[in-house]
Amino acid sequence: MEANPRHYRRPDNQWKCGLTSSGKGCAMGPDARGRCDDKVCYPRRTLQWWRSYLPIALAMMTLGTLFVTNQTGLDRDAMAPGPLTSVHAQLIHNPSDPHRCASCHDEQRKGQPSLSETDWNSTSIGAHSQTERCLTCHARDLPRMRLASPHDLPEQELKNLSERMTKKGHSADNLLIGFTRHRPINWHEHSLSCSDCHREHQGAQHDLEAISSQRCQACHQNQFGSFAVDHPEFREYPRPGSQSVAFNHLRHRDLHFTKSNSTFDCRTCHVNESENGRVGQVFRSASFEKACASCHQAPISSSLPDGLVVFQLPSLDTTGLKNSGIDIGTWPEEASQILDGNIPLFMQWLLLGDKASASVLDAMPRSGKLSDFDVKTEVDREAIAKLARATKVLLGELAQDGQKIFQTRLTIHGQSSEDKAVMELLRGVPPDLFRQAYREWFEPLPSKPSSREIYTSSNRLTPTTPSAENAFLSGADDLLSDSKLATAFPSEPEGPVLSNSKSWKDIRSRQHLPAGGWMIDRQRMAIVYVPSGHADRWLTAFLTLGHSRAIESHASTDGTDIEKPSRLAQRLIDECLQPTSLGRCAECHQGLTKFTSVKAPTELWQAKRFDARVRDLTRFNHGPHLIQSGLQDCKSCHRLHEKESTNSQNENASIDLLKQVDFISVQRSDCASCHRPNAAGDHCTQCHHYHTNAIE
Amino acid sequence: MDSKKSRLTKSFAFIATVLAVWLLFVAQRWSERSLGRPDFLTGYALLAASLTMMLLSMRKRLLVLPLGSVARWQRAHHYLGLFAMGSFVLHAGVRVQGGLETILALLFWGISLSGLLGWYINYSTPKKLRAAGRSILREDIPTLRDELAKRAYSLALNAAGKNESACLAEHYMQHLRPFFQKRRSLAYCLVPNGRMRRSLLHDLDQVVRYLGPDGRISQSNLSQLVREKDDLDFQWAMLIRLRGWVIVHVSLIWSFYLVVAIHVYSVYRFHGS
Repeated sequence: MEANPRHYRRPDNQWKCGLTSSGKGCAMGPDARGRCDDKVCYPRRTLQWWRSYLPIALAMMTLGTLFVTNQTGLDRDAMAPGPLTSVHAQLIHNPSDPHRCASCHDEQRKGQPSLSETDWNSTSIGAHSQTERCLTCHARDLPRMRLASPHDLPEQELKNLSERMTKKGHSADNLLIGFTRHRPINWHEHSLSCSDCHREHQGAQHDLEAISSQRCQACHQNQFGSFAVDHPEFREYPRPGSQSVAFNHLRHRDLHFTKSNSTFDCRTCHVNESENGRVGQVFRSASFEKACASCHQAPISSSLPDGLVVFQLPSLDTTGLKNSGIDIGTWPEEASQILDGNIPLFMQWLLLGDKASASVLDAMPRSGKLSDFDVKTEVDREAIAKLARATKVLLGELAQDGQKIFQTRLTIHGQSSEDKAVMELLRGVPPDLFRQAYREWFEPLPSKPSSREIYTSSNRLTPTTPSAENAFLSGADDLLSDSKLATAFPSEPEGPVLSNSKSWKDIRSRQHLPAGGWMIDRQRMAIVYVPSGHADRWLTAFLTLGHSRAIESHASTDGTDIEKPSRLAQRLIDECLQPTSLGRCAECHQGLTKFTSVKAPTELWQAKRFDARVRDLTRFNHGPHLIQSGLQDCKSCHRLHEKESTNSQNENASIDLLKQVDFISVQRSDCASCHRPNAAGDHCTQCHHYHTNAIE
Repeated sequence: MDSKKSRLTKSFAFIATVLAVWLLFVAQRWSERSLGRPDFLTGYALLAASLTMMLLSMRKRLLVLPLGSVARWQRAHHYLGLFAMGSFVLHAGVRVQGGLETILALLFWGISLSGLLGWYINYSTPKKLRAAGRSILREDIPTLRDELAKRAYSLALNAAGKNESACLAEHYMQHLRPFFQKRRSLAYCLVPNGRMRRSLLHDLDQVVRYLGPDGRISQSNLSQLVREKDDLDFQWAMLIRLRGWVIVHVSLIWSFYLVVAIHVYSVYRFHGS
């Protein structure tokens, strides 16, 4: 082997002479397999060899590492592009659970959801599989998210909304037109998925709701560069909404508060301040007790003393009837003087529930007064007799079957007997009181009343003679009288001595029932309900039922018998409008006088409240705003319509309080002074919900 | 004139690269606004750039075909690399999370930074080699090094036979022999420098006062051999660096594409829209 290294220049070879680096390499060098005849020389790899095989070696190492992580199940963590947000991580917290990835991602097989388990032929990649998994938890809060359409609104609803708003005069550019900018309007083919906006695996502290304003504007034709310049001016914000309680701030400030020399301060009603004076929760609607009771409690209470007559015996000239040969049977002496009075509305309603009794009302004089009957005519005398019998039958049935008769008679044909309004009304009816009234008025009391019948006409607590239905109870009394117990307990128990029964007639209902309730008014020969005060449950149920029946009356065009209760309900509502009406409900709850649609009881009686389930498009939180010293005065944003002030000072001015908007809309400039990019921020999602079910 | 044209071409290529990255950024924002998938846009741009850069390696193997000079292909490779880096920042950001993504980012930046280093080495090495003396093939350097060592040994041997220059032979054995006999360290190959050269020459200068006239001539020759050996080592280091970065640059590529394949698969497997 001749040592001539200057001839050895083959850098592309895989091997080189082992003596090359010492400058003593041979001219030939090793062969392609790295073999050399010289036993002293050990051939070495060239740089070219390293360049060719090192990448392959590293790739094999990488592949091996991935294989090991896959086999040990570590790739579940390794494959994740980043940690989950803390809100999701706490739900999918168990690292040893092999199915935890499948909580959000497709699990192709039931084994470990690792790469090796993937079904490469699966067609379920994409589509809405992951969105459906999101909805397994979030559908409760956002049920309409399944539509996967803009703002969770059905396509038609969104189109209708756009058209409606355009008609109102809004610029079409500012509306939700749909995918008109970058995507076709056909949402069925291009529906949205959760991950279009909410990106997971961005770290524990990542805000999933932080959506850029640019993404919001993907669908909107009008592009908003900034809130201060480009956002449309507010229209009627805060939106008045549908009011059920008629309240006018201007009238109260200029008329009522001025009269009573009181300070008109928003915080008195709308802010719940803690003891240390810090601003607490802000209420849009104040409660009656907090805002109204100080002035309105007294007038309401004064309107209630006589209560609502539910049933009343008409005063009849029984002697005259008897002389005419008409026998109406037993009739209380107190109601047997002259032909007088009228049939209470509620009682008429009950009479209408029975076909036989309903004919009685047809024979009534137009005025409704009994005194207008012409007793000289046979027809009217018969009508009076029928009325007496119908009254007795009604009371008898009420006494015998109780609430069931109420339910039967108040339910209109074609409606469910389980009508919610009827059931609410029944809940307060005491059948035993009707039973007692029946006994007092139509079953003459014996000399020895039953021990169970107490507080009757006697001046002691003495038992009355048992009626037929209580015969077994009288027997029990006899058994008791012969026993030793009778000796131990005297038959006439000691107790308070009651005043003479004649004085009971003078008891005024309110005096007898200061907290409200049912009673027999012996002076008026009636069964009366005395409301407890504001928001009395039975009275509101009664008026709610009346209102719903009155709406049916407005809706009906034919004069069939079925609609008679509805027309009766209309009269009831008309009576509510009277200044002397019971409870004076309609003064504030003017929804009672509107018959445009069937309203839920809460809509009829309660001021509009924020419902946690309703996600309005626009949200506002008073809390962080009221911290600002310049905004602590409510009037800095909520300004009253001073133009209406003159009208409001006139007590007799006719104003539809339900429709009147007494506040000027908050101006965009009010917000824009702070809501700028470098100040309080002006992102769309600061004030707007994307997932909404209440765009109006 | 050529230099001016070359500068213009480079400026144009650089501006075009920056413009391309900016256009990708604009497209990403557009996709963001359109409720699209901007990550897919930047991801595919990055993949396309990466695959296009692979064509340089193929061009080097197809020297026969008239596809333009390798130098041009290499310049295009450099600017595509810059574009790929911009795309990667748009695609994944600066901070990367997740196991697989982190490995992918490390591989990408390993390839990119070695590419940038190679670009600098390719640019600077020819000038430095020319400054270090005549151009020498890397394969010839061990032989030349061996020759220098022999000549240095011969000089030291001659000096050892004379009383007035015996200390020069002793100095050679103590300090210079390892320098001539052995290769330089890996650290020197990575960062070549003249520290040892200066130190050895300084020590040789200190020996002069103990030498006679002949010894001083030998000392002068020995100093010259130290310079030549250091120049040779410098050239060796520069050529090793020139080859070495390519190995680092190329060796990460297959691992990179392997992880890219898994990344793309997992994205389609789990993106779930």
